[in-house]
Formats: sequence, C-alpha cells, structure tokens
Amino acid sequence: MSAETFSNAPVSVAQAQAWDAQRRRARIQLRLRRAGVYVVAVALAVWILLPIWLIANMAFSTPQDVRAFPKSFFPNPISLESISFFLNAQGIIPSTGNSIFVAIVTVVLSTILAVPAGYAIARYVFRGRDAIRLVMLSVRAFPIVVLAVPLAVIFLQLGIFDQPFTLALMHTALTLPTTILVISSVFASVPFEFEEAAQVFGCTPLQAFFQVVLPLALPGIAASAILTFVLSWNEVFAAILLTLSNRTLPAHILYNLDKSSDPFKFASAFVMLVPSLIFIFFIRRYLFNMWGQINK
Amino acid sequence: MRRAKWTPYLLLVPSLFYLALFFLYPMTQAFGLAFSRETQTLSLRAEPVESAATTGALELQTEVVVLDRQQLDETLPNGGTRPSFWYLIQGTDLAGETVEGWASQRSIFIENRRTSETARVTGGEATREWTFEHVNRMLTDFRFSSAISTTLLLMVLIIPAQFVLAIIMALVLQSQVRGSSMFLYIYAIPLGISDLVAGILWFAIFTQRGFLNSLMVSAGLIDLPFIFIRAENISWMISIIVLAEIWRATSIVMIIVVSGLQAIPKDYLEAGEVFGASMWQRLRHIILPLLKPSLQVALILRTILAFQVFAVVIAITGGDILTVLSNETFRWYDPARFNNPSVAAVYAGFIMIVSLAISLFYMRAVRSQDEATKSAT
Amino acid sequence: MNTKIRLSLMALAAMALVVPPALSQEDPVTFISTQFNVVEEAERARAIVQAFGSGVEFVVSEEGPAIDLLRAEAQSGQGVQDVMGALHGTFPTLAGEDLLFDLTDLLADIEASADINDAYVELGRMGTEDFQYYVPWMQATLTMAANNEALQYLPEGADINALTWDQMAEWAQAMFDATGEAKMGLPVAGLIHRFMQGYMFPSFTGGMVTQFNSPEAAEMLAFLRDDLWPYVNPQSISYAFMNEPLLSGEVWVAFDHVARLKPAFDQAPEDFIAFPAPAGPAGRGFMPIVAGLGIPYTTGDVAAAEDLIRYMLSPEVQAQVLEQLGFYPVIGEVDVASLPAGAALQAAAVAAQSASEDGIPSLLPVGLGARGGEINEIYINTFTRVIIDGEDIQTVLDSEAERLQALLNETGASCWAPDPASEGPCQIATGGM
Repeated sequence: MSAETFSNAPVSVAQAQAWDAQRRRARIQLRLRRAGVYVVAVALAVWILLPIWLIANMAFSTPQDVRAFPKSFFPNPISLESISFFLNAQGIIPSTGNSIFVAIVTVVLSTILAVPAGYAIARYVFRGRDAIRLVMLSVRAFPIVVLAVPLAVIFLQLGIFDQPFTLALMHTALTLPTTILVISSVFASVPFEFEEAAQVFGCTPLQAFFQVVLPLALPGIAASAILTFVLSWNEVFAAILLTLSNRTLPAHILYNLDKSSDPFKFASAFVMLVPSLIFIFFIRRYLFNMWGQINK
Repeated sequence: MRRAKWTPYLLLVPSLFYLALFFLYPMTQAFGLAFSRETQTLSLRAEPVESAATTGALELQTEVVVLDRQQLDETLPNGGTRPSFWYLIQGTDLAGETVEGWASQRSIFIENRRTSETARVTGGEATREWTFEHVNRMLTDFRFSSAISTTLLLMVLIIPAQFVLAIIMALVLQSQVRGSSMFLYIYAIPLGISDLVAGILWFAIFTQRGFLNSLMVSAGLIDLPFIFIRAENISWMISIIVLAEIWRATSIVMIIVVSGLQAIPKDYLEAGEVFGASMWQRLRHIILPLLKPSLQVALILRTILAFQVFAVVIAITGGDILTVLSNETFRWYDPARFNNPSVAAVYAGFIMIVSLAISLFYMRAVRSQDEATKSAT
Repeated sequence: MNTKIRLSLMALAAMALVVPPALSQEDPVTFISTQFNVVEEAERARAIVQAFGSGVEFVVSEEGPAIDLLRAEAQSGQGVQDVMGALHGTFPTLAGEDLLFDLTDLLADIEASADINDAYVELGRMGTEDFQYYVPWMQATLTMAANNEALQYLPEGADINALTWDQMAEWAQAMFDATGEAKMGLPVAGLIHRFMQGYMFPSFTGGMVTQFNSPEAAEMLAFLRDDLWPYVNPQSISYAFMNEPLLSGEVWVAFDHVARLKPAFDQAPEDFIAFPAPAGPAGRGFMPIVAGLGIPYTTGDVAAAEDLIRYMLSPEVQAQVLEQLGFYPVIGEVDVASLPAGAALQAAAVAAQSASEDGIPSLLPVGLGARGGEINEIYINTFTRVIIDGEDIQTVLDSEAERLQALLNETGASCWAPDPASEGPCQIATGGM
C-alpha cells in the first residue's frame, strides 16, 4: 500500500522496476502467508468437526454397523434405526421436556433478574461497582459441587427435591452472574446519548429505557438468553444431584450411560449436540460483544 | 454514565439477594454437614408412651434384658388397628450405671416380640455434635491422593495447550481470511457442547473397537486393536481426557482472547508492521502484553473449571480407576454408593479452597510481576 | 409375548374387572418398587402389574426416596403406598422402624398352593422368629456367559457346568494365546463388588465376611492378580454392563447379573451360552439376589394389598416377570419349558448354579441400613488396590478388614449365610481390629 502512495512521484525506470519486483515479492509473500493462515484455519476446523462427523456417522448407522469392527467412516447404509431407538426409549421424551422446561424457566428468571442489574452496572457510577463486578466473576466460577450437595440436602428437607422447577432455581443461580455481566455489556454498547436525547424530548427515565434502550438492546439480550439456555441445557452435575425421577436429558443420559448400548450412547450424544450447533450459529456474532465487557 | 445515590443499588438488590440465597446459605449448610455428625441415643420412658418422662438413656447396640412387655392396639389412620409393642428393658449406660425403662418396637431389635428375653438397642433420638471424622475419612481414603494428583495433572496438561491453541485460533480469525465468519462459527461450536457429549465423542474414537483402531487396522498398521483404556498404563487415558478437554473448552478461551484482541488499538499493530517487526516479534512484544488482562481472566476461569472436570472422565474411563475430585464428591454423595453427604461436603469444600487459593496465587503473581517491571523501568 | 400368556393375562384382566377385589377408582392400589427403574423395564413391569386391575398404580423409585416416602407417610399417618417391592437389603431399615405389617398369615395362605423357597422365606423374617416382614417376590443372580466361539478353547475334560476357577484361568489363557486378545471380561465399572462378595471370597474362603483377611483370601487375590487378570480384557475397567462387549465380540466370556446379560441372549440366542460361575477350593460361591413384597402399615386397604401380592406370586405372573424382566420365580410351579430360546438358556444356567452340589449361596450381612452401599465400596477398594494398583495383598486385606469391622460394629449388622450366624454385630474371625 505504501508503494502506491509514492507512485505519483516522478521516478526512474530502474527504480520503478525495482519497486515492481519488490511489490511482486511482497505480494507473493502475502499470498504465501495467506495460504499458510488458510491451511491452519482449515486444519483447526477439521480438528473441531471430525469428532462431530464421526458421532453423526454412528448415529445414522445401523446398530450392526455401530458394533462392527473395523468401523466405516461413512454411514452405509444410512439408517435412522439408532436415532429412532433413542428417541423412542423410555424417559427420553419426558427428560427432554424437563430439560426444555428447566432451561426456559432459567432463561426467564435470570433475564428478569439480570436486566436491572446489568443496566445498573452499565449506566451508573456508584460506590462498590468494581467490587460487585469482582463478586460476579468469582461467584460465576464457583464450583457447582460446593453448592449442589448442600442444596440437595436443603431441598430434601423442604420437600421440594426432585422437581424441575427447583433445578431451574439452581440453574438460575449458576447462570445469573454470567447473564448479568453479558447484559451489562449489551447495555454499555447502546450509546448513552440516545437515552439522554429521549429524556431531553420529555421522556421519563423509565420511558426512555423501555422505548429507546430496550429495543436497541433486545437482540443482544436475546443472544444472552440463548447462551443461558445452552448453559442450562448442558448442565449435568447439579441436575444429577437434584433430580431422581424427573431427570433432565443430560442427567438421564449420564445416569443410564453404563446401562445403555453403544448405538444408544452415540445417538444420545448426537441428539444432545444438535441444539448447540443451531444456537451457536445464531449467536456467533454476539459472542465477542458479550465477552468484551468482562475483560475490562 | 450516571451518578445516583440509590437507584443502582435498588436495581441490583434482587440479583444480589438471589445469589446470597443460593450461594451463601448452602455454604453455611455445607459447613455444618462437613463438621458435624448425628449420633443416636435411646431415651427410656417411665411409661409405655412417647410423651412419658425419661428414666435414662442407652447407646445404640447396647444389649438389654427384657423385663416386661405390653401389647397395645394402635389405631391406624384408616380406622383399623395393629398390634404395637412396648418393652420394659434394662441395660448399662455409658456411665456404667444400670438403667431401666420402656422402649418401643421402633428402637430395639428383638427376635420374638412375644417371648424373647433379650434385645438390642437399634434406634433413638438424633443429636448433632461437632466432629472432624468426615475430614479424616477424606484424608485417609486411598483414592484421595490419586484424585488430587490426577486433577492437578489434567489441569497442568490441559490449560497451557488450550491457551496456545486459543491464541492461534484468535490470530487466524483476526487475519480476516476468506470465510472467517464460518471459521468463527466452527471454532465456537464446542462452546455449546457439554462435557458429557465431548466425553462420548472421544470415547468413540479411542475405545477398543473405535475409530482410531478401525483406521489403524484397516491401514494395516496393526493387526489387533490396541487397547487405550487400560489400567496398566494410565497415560493413555489421561491423554484422551486431555484431548477431549482441549477440544471442548478451548472455545471459551478463544472468545475471551478475540475480545481482548479487538480491544487492542489498531495503531499499535500497524506501528509494529511499519517498523518491520516479524509476526513472532509482534506477538511477543505487542499482542501478548496487551492481552494479559484477558488471559488472566481466562486463566482463572479455566483453572476453577478444571477442578470440576467430571462427566468427561466418567464417559471415557468409567470413573473408578482414574478418579478426579468431583467424581469422588459424587461417589460419596451417591445414595447407591457411600450415601454420605458429609464427606461429599468436605470434598466440595476442599475443591473450593484449592481453586480459590490457586486463583489468588495467579492474581498475586501477576501483580508482583507488574510491580517488578514497573520498578525496573 | 406368547399367545398363551397373553390369553391368560386377558382372562385375568377380565376377572379383575368383573370381580373387583375391593378396588375402587378413587383409591387405587399403589405398588411402589425400587426394582425395574431402568426405563424400558419400568414400562414392562407396569403392564404386568396393571393387568391385575384397572385401579393399580405402579410407581418406581430409587431406594432412598422410597424409604423416605414410607417414613413420611408413617409420620403423617396418611398412606398412599399399599405394597412395597424391594430387594432384601432395603427391608432391614423398614423393619427397624416398624413400618410394615406382619405377613405370616398371608404367607401361609400362599404356601398352601405354591412352594416358596424356604431359605428366602427365612430371609423375609429378618432374623426374627415371629414376624414376616416380606413375602419373597422374585430372585436373580449373577452367572457366566460365553460366545460359542470360545468353547473350542475350553480346557480338555472341563465340564462347563462344573468349572473350577483354575480351569477358568486356563481357558482365558488359551483364548489369549490363540487370538492374541484377552477375551474374558469382568464388569469392573459395574457389579465387581458382587463378584468379590458372592463369588471369589466364598469360593476360596467359605465365607464372605468372617474370613475377610484369612490366608485363603490372600490366596484368592493372588490367583485373581496373577492367573486371571492378565487374560482379562484391560478395557474391563470401563465395562459396567457386559451385554455390549459380548454383542460386539470385544469379549467372549463374561461374568454379570442375569438381567444385564439378558439383552445379549435376547438378540442373539444362537451365539451365546450361559453357565454357572466356577468353583474354588471351598466350593461354588454364588449370590442369590432376593426381592420381596411388604405392606406398609399406613396402607388404606390391607385386603387389596394382600390380593395384589397373591397375584404377583401366581405362576403366570412369575413366568411373565422371568420372560420380560429377567427375574426368576421364587415358587416351584412355574413352567420354564415354553420360554424363548435366550431366556431358556439363562434359566438353565441359573438352575444349574443354585442346584450345584458344591454350591455356597452367599448373602450380605443384614442390618447395614443407610450404609448398605459402604460394604460394596470396601470390596471394590480391595479389588482396585490389589489388582489394579498392585498394593501388597495382606496390607490391603488388613486395612480394609479394619474398615469392614468398624462398619459392622457401628451398624450392628449381623452375619448371614455362608458366614456363621452372629449374636450382635458380625465379627471377622481373624481379628479385624
């Protein structure tokens, strides 16, 4: 680029040729580097995708092919037998229902709690603001084991053990700190001037929030809700400790893992990762914004 | 930014209250579980009814003589009756004194309700007392030290590899190659994949009749499948868990690193380029130093999560031969196994203390390093 | 389900509709079971139980919550559960808290027309003389299974129905030498504790608990470590249910619970045979697993609960439970001839095992209560420390014996067969402390 800026200046033919050669060399170098980066990018993609391909391959093979050795790397013939066996197995539908219920309640609760808190952290200067952010970060990384064992005992005593709703309360506690931090970075990315302008034009702070800030923040909040959903959908330790007959899908699968056949196991792994394939696709653009604030 | 006295606190109160309820309260409960135990003593009664005055107390398993018995017809909730027995028993209490009094069927074992002359105390009222018994059980359990060393080993192997890989991914994405939004999606996929699923995926590759053996046998490299999951050489199992964890949990580090990279002013990097710094020099002298805060956050996060590694280990190894701390917690808690939430609570507390200590150590190390550089310049 | 059984089932269902045995729609008879809580089994068990009458509920629950539930019902005085079905090991807690009706009369009534295994009836009395806490319901055990491919390597002169552990080790070695692969499998991530408690210890020492750290026990562990384990598939450490490695051909000979081997026999009865566990110097140790039916005293309807138990003990229902759920009858009147091929193979092995002349039926100590899982951990630890970690045998036996004795003393659990009956807590003969 810098070569082109200087090209307007009068230059000798030899000089121009030298520059030309240099430019060509630079271009080749750049292309080589591009190619190198590309090779690395593709290799990393293969590293991520290969195991997913293999498990999908297993999920769509016949049970005979799943048990066969050596195994084929492509399903031949493609069969829905394993998947349909998994989906029809007892307890899969109810536990999937439980998982969805728990995840939705978790999303609703944690979003309701996190929106005001996130707004406060994004918009206000107050004593203890940094301390609260630190608390959020440390609480977020708290071992689930530490909470799940005593909570199981408390829930047993209160007679609310083994209920999806109780598990959702627990999941809300686990996801709330992340949700607050993520939502606060969403609000921080909405320019404060818009809100001020709305107030100048006669809105109350509450009206300004609901009519100006919230609509702008909504896509980010939706992305955060999806992230919360995925966290709850995948959580297994608290789920296996806090439920018995009303298991969530991952808890049900983990509990039956040693009892289940290989076709069942691989089909279950595939079915469980499909939501993440879809959800991550939708929120991929928001991922960095969501984490931007936490780094600071 | 706004200044207000009360509004931010009011907005934060619901969340803080909720977190306190679900973090602080269970913590105090965990403390109680970890450091107290229930003991039972049987209070003897002056009359064959629960409300009668006590005449003495006996420890569990005390052998007693049956002096007398009384059969009452207990009325049942549904209107019927059933024979209910009370026994006048005599035994020696903890102080060595002979005590005598009535006890119900619920608190003794008797061979024949109508004719036996002796019985044994099997139940009573529970009282709580402080004890280090559960801590002792954890410390003397032969799996304890191997659970710690495996957990730490996994941490030491996984975290550095994750950081190198995450930085490479981030630089690739940063270089804006064609299709970089697709690459971003692919690299982020494991973010939504649970450790359980990751464990099953990698188990499918490394099990005896899995994909790796299929490939090697088909290619004629080996004649018989090689058994990776074996107790004689646990380094194979460790390697599989390490691969699975690197595969699964690098995404989150990558996201944090990319966010950190985006925050680095473009001028810095361009300046480096103008002065002819090589890729490596720019990484070493510009990018990494500026990324330090992000890396620190990621490091603390990953360290704490490394102590919670659970389902991957179960899915790959079966869980008992190669054990980790969270697996031991579950083993002690599990009603079908030890059924002992107290020792489980001790384990949970241990995990928390160690992971917090390591996080504090990181923060202090980073800070003192900063101070060292400051004082040097 | 074959037609004959289906017809008799329909007949029974019709009878139940015509002559409702004191059932009413408002208050169904509730059968709570700690068994069949694996998903597919629960559905099959529910179908069998509900054929008794339209007003029957079949509920499955884990052991702990089921006990808590009965306890809570006794405290509130309001009971929903009418029949409790559980393994023998669950009943001591219920008996200790005096939560059950005495079923002596009901048992006598059932025995008038059915021959119930006496040993199990005695188990149901929990060491008392005059109180029947449960009526035996069904039984299971753990046996061996082998792929027919393996039979060609069986040591010469060995009778597969009367193997010794030495012959088993020879056989495993022969398969290893011929194929280059260790083709024997043990459920190390599964019921390995039952293998130690009910099979290895009794076969070598003649007892399960009292001879825990005897020289014979040390010999047994040395045999396991040096003669058998080298020819056991190393990936056994991750096996919980043996049907899958049997079906995939990863192992050819395996030891496991009959219900956990069942899928292999159901899917490929022509590929597998079942046979009794081998015998050691002291005899052929094996573990009968007994489940019983009790009536909580808070039941709303004793007569209906008793009728349901009679129904569960009828030859037709016992046959259905065997065929569909893999648990074996406790009464002698069940015709096993008409079973499907796989179930018949397993039934023959179970019968041969329990009828073997040198058989040593082995049962866990009674009265461990809430700490019932802890005794398993002691046997698992013993296996892991000696076989996997290679610790010194006597050191391991002595330190685990100490834990075992402490557990027995703290719970007051008493010995059961094959250990000599104990007054008070069971004592390890060679001084556990």
